[in-house]
Amino acid sequence: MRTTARRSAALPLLVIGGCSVEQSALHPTGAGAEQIYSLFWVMTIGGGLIFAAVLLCTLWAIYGGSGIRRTLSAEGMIYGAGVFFPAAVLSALLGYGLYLMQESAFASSPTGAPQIAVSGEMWWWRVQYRDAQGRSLESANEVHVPVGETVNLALTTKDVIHSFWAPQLAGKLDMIPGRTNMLSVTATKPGISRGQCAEYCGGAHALMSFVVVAHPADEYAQWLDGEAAPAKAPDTEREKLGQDLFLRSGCGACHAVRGTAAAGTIGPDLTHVGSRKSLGAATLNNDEASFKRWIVDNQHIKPENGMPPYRIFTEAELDALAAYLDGLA
Amino acid sequence: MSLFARHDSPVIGALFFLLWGPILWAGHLTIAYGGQALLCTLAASSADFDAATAIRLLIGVTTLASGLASVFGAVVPRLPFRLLLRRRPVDADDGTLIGIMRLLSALASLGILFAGVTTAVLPVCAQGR
Amino acid sequence: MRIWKTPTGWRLPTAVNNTVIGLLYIGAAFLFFVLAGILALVMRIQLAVGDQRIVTQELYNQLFTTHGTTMMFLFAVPAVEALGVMLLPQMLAARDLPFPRLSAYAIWAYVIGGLVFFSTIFYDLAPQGGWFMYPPLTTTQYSPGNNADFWLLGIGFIEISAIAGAIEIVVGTLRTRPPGMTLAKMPIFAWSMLIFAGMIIFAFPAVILATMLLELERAFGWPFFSAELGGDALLWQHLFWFFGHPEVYIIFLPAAGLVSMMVPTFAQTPLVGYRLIVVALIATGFFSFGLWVHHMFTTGIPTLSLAFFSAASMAVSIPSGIQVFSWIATIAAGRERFRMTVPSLFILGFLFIFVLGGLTGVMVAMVPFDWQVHDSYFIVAHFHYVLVGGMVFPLFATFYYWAPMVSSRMLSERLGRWTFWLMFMGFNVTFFPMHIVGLQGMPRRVWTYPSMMGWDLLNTISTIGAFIIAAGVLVFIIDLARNFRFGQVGPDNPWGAGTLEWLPNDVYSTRSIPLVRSREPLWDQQNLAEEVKNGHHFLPGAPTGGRETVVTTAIEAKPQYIIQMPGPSWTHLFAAVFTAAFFLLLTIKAVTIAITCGVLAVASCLIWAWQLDRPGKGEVDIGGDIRVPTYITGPQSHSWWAMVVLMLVMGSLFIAYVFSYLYLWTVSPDVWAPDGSPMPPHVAYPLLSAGLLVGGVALLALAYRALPDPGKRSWEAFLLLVLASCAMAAAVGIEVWGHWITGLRPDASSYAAMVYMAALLTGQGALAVIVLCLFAGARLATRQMDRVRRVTFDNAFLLYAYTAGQGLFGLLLVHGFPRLLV
Repeated sequence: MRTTARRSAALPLLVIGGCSVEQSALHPTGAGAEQIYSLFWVMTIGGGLIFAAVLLCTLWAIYGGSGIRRTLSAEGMIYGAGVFFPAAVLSALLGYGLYLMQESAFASSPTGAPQIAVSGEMWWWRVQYRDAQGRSLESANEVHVPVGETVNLALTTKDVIHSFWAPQLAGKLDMIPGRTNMLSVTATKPGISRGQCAEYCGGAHALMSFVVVAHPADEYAQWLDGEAAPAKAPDTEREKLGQDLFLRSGCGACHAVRGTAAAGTIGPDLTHVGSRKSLGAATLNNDEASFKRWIVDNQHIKPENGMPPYRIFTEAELDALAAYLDGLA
Repeated sequence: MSLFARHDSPVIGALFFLLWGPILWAGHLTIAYGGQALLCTLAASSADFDAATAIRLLIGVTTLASGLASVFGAVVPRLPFRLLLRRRPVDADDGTLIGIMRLLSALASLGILFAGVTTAVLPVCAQGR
Repeated sequence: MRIWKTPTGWRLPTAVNNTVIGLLYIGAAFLFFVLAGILALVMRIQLAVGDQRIVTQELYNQLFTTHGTTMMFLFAVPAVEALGVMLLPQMLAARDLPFPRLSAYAIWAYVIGGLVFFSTIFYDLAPQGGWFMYPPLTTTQYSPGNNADFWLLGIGFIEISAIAGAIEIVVGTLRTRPPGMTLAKMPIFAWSMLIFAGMIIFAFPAVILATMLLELERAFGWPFFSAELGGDALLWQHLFWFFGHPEVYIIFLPAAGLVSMMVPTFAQTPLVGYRLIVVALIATGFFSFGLWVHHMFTTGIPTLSLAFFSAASMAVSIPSGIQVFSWIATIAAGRERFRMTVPSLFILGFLFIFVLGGLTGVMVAMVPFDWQVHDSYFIVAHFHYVLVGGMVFPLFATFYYWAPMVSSRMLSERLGRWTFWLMFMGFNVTFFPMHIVGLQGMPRRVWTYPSMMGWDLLNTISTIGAFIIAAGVLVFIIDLARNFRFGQVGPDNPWGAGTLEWLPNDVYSTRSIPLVRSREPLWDQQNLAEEVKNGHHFLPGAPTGGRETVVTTAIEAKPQYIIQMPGPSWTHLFAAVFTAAFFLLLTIKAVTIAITCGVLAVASCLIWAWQLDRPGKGEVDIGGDIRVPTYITGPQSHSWWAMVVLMLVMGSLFIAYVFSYLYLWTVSPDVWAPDGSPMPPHVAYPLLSAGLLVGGVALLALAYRALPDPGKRSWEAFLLLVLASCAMAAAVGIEVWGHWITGLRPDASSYAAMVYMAALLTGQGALAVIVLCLFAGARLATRQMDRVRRVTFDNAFLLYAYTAGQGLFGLLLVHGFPRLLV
């Protein structure tokens, strides 16, 4: 657990459950990422040894005794060290690579319809789940997967090219207009990690992240049930006022809250937004204060994003609106 | 003009001689990649077309043909030399050109082999992710 | 030797001599290096710690786009091309490159175009689509405004300037070598430049086509890249990387060639494994064309396709191994220890950095590993190791090593060591941590990142390193200011090198052109410098009374004829200014003035060309009892060669088009005729077009027979030239008309756009052909073209025949392919 080093006034930090969340390829928690992690070490150690050997040869060539220099200056040496040795190492490496690609292809042999569809949109992620009963439900900026089960993701884009990269789960795959790319992932450990768009997609590309949650298998079913339910009705007066404001101010033109009149599809679905780990595609923490800031100031937090800043609310109204949204667990 | 070589090498011939291996390698990659893309498109549009066999056959035959031709260049360079330069190698310069051509052909053969082997291992049209 | 004098004062810009314009070329490239480096410093400040807001999102996106574009197109390629212009004629003891005004034109166009392009960053007009400009992000829908057009037109035209330089270099290395310097005795740098130019010829047309397609989509809505109408975003990536990957080696190979020139000098022994190095250069050049998909490993194309390119990426590593061990062998082979000078320090620094970059290159060539690190900072680290290590360090070695060739004073060893150590340390401090931060998940092209990601410390270190590099470059600039004095009277051969550029030199290169018998003539041919200086070798005088050099055969280097070269002129300068103005004004949609400038550019070119093709002066003695002609036509002339190389360029462009056509069909067969679009018109249309093209060639063949005797005029030939021009124009017109009446419109689908694109490409060639034919007609009318003096006619004929051939092939594809699908 790392404590956050520094807080900036501009961007509060995303801290989930008291510890910061990583997106490091060096801490794999998925089958694909684990394979690549081993490959990384094989190549790093091998490459390091070769690098050391080349340096040593160079130093010998400059400062070595006449014997070693004569050996190094023979044309045979060039053939040996510059042709045959690399040819052998590269052949072996290519074989290893082909083996891994075959494994990946084998693992991806489709075992049914895609369970999760992720669409990249400037600059957030629309996520749709479809379960065995044929239920289809929409969420955003979070990908929940069960541990130990291979999940097929269907990756598409609504606008420009994006790239879906959850480094701790697997390697990345692009989202390309007019195409659907399929990615199979298998989480091996429960936990939360982070992912980010890896293909430059204009404007706020830097702020297009998401959260990956790997649940133990039984917990996953529970989570899915919860997510499939319509939005929670407001409990308090403040939340009721918030809902009222939400529906009256036209928020529903872009956002959907299932169970209410709000059924917009342009922006992220907010049915269970309060239960998410972050706001603004993993840009802000999920709390009331962040909701308020986002509503008023989103163009500073995430320049060029599709939502206009709303400065029409009084402080009390903003509080109510934030309370309502935060309460949509 | 005793200061200079007595012969005049045809430029195009010399070019093709030097690049014997690399040209074969380029042809191989073009046919392998282009053929695969084309056959996968055809397979997508008609159900009874067996893309796997067609692609493996195409790439297998191409690999064998271009690989052998390339190895041949590396082993018996004098034949292509006579064919393309229309004379026998005579001086040290010719020796240099032949040396360059042989090693290039050898490297190209390896490249052809590398690319050819992949077909035996991987599914032909699947995305594989 | 008064004719070689460099013009002075306000006439200086008219100079064409390779050392003068070469210096301008290198100077401009270095300026862009410094400018783009400053942009990098701004980016490093912004990224020093997380959550920073010094630079806005929009500016940052412009910064990295301009940094990448400038470094690749305005610094790296021009810098190595400049070294070719500067060093090649001296290494080959040629008086100049064969087309001095063409190189001057290319250089001025680049300088003007480059400066205007770079300045867009100051008025918020800079493109922000990344140097790779992927659509659909760069289509008008997501990038309204002129920013992207500055990239497309500005860079597109700088690419054309690079191609002009490449044509020059191919003909220069193959035809203007000194007598006796056979292909097998050519200096390694000449080999590397030959391969460099060859690669430009085949790689650049792909990106030129891509920029044309994207600009057509932006300006007129021809949907090449929009998925809704059957286009495909990946088409751009294929075309761009078919250029973009070779590009990396286009930059690296000449630098490696320079290293192969310097290492033997400091080891005082011939290069060990000359043949092996040549093999490595050629193999790298070839294999690099089979790597482009390795930039597309994460796009989701079939795993087998990826494997082909992974295999080629493995194969391309071997030649680099060969070169590294050849250099080590040469260092070891010296009788004395390797001499430690500033250039040798830079060479060793290059070895260190480049080997590391090469090894990470093998890592990313492994498809699964690339899935993880692609578009992360690991890649940023990798390619800076390869490019800065592989190109910038050798370039600085070159500055220190070859400065005495054009400066009367050498650069300082003391300041040079400071420069080296600051740059070397700074480089590793900047870029090594990026490997780690990339593996920790930091993607590229982000203007900020959250502090809590744990990336802050490594980024801070990188930023500090960047400023250390900057300090190194600053020391170098101080060294330049203190010690660089332009002049030809520098110390002769200060390093004790073995190649011809170290012969006593002046603007006209050497006093006489030596007869070469070995790869290191200065080491092996006793008293060569003395003999050359005293005019004991070839061409000691100026038998034609003008600028001239010896042309030799391509393989055996036997003297063949004397080429008469043009001197200083305003024409090519005006042509360059107006060409640049044409493209840049087009960018800001000032169409009328743009077209005026375009016409002026063509007019300048015509006046420039009018002064060429001077009559021969009979056979002259060049020394050694050898008499050669001073005018030659047909397949042996340098102008024929240049035309053939130009045809190769056009051919590559057309092949890239054919690939695009077929590729889009594989992606969107549903929009193709006959089902998705109207069928092409009745076969009568293409047959008539084809007939006109073939007929045009026949007319020119008749014109060839009708060429008059010297001093006479032939109205018959004139008429035939005009008729042939009309036939060409009519052929293109009928093709377009035929498709138009079927109801097909170019903005309807990617199929329709591709159909009209074929006609557009042929039309482009046709325009050039018509101008050239009418130009030839004018020469006929003024008695400047005849049976003997007919280089202009030959060129027109060659280009005509090529364009007709391309046109026929286009007709076959556009009218034949849909009929195959019926």
